[in-house]
Amino acid sequence: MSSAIFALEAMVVYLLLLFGIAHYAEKKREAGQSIVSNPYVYALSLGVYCSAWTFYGSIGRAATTGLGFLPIYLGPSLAMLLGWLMIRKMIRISKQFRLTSISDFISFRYGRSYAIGALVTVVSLMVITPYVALQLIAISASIHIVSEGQTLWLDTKLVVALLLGAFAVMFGARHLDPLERHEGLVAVVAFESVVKLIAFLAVGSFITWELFGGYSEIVEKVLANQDYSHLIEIEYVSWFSLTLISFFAILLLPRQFHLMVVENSDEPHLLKAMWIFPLYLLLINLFVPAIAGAGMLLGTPGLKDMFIITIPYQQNQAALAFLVFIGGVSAATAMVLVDSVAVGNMMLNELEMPRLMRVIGRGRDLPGLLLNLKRLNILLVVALGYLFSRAVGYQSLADIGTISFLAASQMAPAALGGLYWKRGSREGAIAGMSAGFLIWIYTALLPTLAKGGWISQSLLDQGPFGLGLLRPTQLLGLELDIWSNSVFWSLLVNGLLYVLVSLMSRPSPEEQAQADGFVDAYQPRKAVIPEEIRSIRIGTLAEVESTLARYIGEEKAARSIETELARLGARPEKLDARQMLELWDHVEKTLTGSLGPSATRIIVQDRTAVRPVAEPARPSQPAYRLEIGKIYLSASMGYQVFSDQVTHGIEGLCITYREPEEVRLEGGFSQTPVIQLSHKRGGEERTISPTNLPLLFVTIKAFVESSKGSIIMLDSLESLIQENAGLVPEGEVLDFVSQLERLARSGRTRILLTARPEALHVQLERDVNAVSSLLFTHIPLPAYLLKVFVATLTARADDPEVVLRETNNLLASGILGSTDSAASCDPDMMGVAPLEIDPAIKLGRRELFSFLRKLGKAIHKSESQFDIRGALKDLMEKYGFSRYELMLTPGTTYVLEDEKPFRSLEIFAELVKIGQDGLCISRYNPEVLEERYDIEPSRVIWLTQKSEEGGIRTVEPTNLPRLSSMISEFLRQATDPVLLMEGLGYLITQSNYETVLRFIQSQRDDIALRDAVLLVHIDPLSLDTKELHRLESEMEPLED
Amino acid sequence: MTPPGDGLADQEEFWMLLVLLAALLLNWPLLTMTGPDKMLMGFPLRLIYLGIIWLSIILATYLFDRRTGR
Repeated sequence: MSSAIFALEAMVVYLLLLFGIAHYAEKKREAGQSIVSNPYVYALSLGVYCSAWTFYGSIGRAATTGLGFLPIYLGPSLAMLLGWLMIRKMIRISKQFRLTSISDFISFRYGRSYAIGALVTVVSLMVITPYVALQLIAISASIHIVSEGQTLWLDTKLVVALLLGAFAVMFGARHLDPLERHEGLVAVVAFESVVKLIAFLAVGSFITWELFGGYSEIVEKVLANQDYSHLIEIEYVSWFSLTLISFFAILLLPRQFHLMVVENSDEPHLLKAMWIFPLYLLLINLFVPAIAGAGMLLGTPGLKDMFIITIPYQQNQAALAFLVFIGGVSAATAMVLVDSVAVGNMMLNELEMPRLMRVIGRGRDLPGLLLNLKRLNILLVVALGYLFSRAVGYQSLADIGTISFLAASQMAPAALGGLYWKRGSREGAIAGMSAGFLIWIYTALLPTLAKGGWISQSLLDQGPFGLGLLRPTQLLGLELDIWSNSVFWSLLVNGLLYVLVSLMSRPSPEEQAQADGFVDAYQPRKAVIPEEIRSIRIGTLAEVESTLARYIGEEKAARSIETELARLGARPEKLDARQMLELWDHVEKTLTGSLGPSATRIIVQDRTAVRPVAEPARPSQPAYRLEIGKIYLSASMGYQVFSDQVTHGIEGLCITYREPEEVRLEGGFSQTPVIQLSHKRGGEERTISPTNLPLLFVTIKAFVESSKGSIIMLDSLESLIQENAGLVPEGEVLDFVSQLERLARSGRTRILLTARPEALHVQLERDVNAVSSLLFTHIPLPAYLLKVFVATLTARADDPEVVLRETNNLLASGILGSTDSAASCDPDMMGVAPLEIDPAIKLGRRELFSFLRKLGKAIHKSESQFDIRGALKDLMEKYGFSRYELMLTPGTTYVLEDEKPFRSLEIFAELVKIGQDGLCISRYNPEVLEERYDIEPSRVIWLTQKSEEGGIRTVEPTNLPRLSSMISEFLRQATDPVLLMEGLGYLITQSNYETVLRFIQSQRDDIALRDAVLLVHIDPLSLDTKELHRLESEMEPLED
Repeated sequence: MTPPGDGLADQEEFWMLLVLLAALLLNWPLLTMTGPDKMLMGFPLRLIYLGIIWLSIILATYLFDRRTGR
């Protein structure tokens, strides 16, 4: 080899060979015969770790610091011991959530944080630029050596950069792949790993056994030479620091993450990689001390890093030198290819896509645009590397490898902590990483730049402003080498802030879900879909497919949906709610793979997000006072009330069938969002199909969560119910209504519904009327409820016909009032008449549960094992009913025997919370009950000798007539009364047993007459057996 | 692949212990036992020691692969 042209030609031929290999690998993959999907190729691909910095730099390092080059390879070998524990978990998570880069991985863990993704990407780009420059300079330097110092008319580095850039684009961005897997690229990298190992072993063997009499001779001669004998010594602190950061680097460097995690096609391949990769590292380093020693003993001129190529060249071993040159090209190209693809992808996902999602209009060829952006990013990475290489020399870059390892280590607390610690939060990760990166810049990057003459050396010698304690390389006076100093301070502060800030912050529900998904990666997958929409239908198949097609192209979207449908075993024309949600989940994952987590979050949010806006507040007071946490109905004043609220500083959302512009004009507001319930699409205004109740609810919920003390107006629930009648099961409508009710009760909003009086079961007496439960207000919701309950019992009973027959019998008996359309059981009919419930049936909570209790008893007669409470447990929870509503029969006095009254108080609090009128007679101070059980003091009568004060009602324990009169007064006024009496032992102590027993007997009668429920708590140990028995005989036991 | 069992190698703690042990063996103070002047059969003891630990890591992971991957 004698000219630079020849060397470049050789390099082009070699790149063409790589091109052929990549092409072959892609073809085989398309034919379903992947050559890459095997553990040996996977293990060899990890050899990308050994870049030109290793290939040339190890020898230079060995020649100057002796064994100091070894920790860079011992760290990764140690990390492989944790492969099955840690790397497998990273692979599992990345596959599950389609995460395609280290920035995706970390940002996704912390609630798809844009800030984290952007931070990791920017630092990766900062680190990768000089690293790419190093590769270009290394190739250029080796060309210079093998061409005997000849130069080209063109800048060699530019030619190399152009070649590598083109190659990276060809194999890293040929098409959009949601999985970001590139088999051609992996095949090339694995091949190059073999080439550089062969080159290293060949030149090592030649030098060791051809030029010297074996390894021991070189070592002996080096140790015998006083100038070199120190090379066997070790700087222990620096040794440890480098081992630690290389341990982290193998897991977190963008290229390593890409090949080890993203390109892994099968988890068990990792098992082979766990021992092949350390073996590879051992072999590639086997001759490093020998080559370095030989270079010095032979007095080889030039850069020590280049001994590997200079020695064979000087010994007239042109073929060997050529092999080494190709080995070096392999090391450099592999690194540039993988890193440019990985970082280019990160730039697209974390920096460009989130911005693009907000500004790009519909109708653009998004898949084409994304692909071109990805290509541009790859070229940009290589171009930046080239520009950097023009600015600095090789010597200034010698420490770049260590610097980038250190930067990668700053991701360790957030990335690895997030794998095992659920409390790790977004704020903690941002605080830790930001601080870590800043300290890294100050203690590692600045000193390196100073060393290269880019900034003043005085900063290192005297510290900023002459403050010696702030010297970057000896921060706070710590006497360590430059790397150990940086490792210590950056990781210490990073880790501390990560933990402390995490402990002080509260993660969002989304972040919590991701944390669970990461930490419990091996546990059966929990649905990421929120509870409230899990059981209700969401969108159509066409919506799913068009959403995906917009970002990855129609053909790919169709194929992707088809594959997913096949996996779910679903037919497009008949998809159930669960399958639709699985499909959306699939779309979200596919988009995460293609666009990154941040952009996907924007897309998902865009489907549901309506931003809260506060109108300029009028100086007057609002005419209506609507409390947060309540639901209001209005017959004719709905829009006026809503307008009154939003024009007085309350953030509002109006959901209406009317034209939004008309609503705004009439209401005198302009900014408040209005969603039109309409089947039409497009246009300026936001519309939601009235039959897409899940989307409507998620939109309302998202608005409530992003606003403060808002008001939601819906015009009207009646129309929504009518539109969905017959189209969706009754249960879905009930789900929507009950979730709406639950949202209102969450205490973050108030809900205002317009309603026609004739469509309601309740009387509207004022302009706005607070209602306790929506499920029992609108026709035909109570009928729906009854149907759903009966359907559940039918499904649970051994003989469904029994349930239908008994239901029909009960309906025919008229216990629910109107029975006009309720079918009766006709003994002459064959089989059982289908269930027919009058849609206008009026049913309150008490009537519903009374009906169900009777039905349960009737079924129990035919099926002795039938347990209505167990059968309805899930349904009761779903609609926010208390199980005690079904258990407690009005008109009954129950006794609860416990040492302490805690259970009794909990049951009482639960019943009051769901809307029953409650009165608690207690020995406890009402303030304590409010604090512990959330029972309002106004609902409590305190048994005490103290007199009433501050609105707290008290009764002396001996004044039972007064207590009796207070109870009677309460029973007269309450509509659905429940009483709790605890402190019986105190009453007995203060008066006597017989008096208290007579008091209980008298209350029991009142309770029966008023259809109330009385719960009496007794501590069985406070009474003797006879007394207890007499009391028990007056009441019924309450058994859970 | 064999399902995870109760063997030593199936337990996460074992691998953590192994990493700690290997890290300990490869660092101060144990590394000082192989001082720069100590030789074994004409070869620096330090190089032999580091080679043995490195090979032990490879052997441990190889045996785990054989056992788990079978």
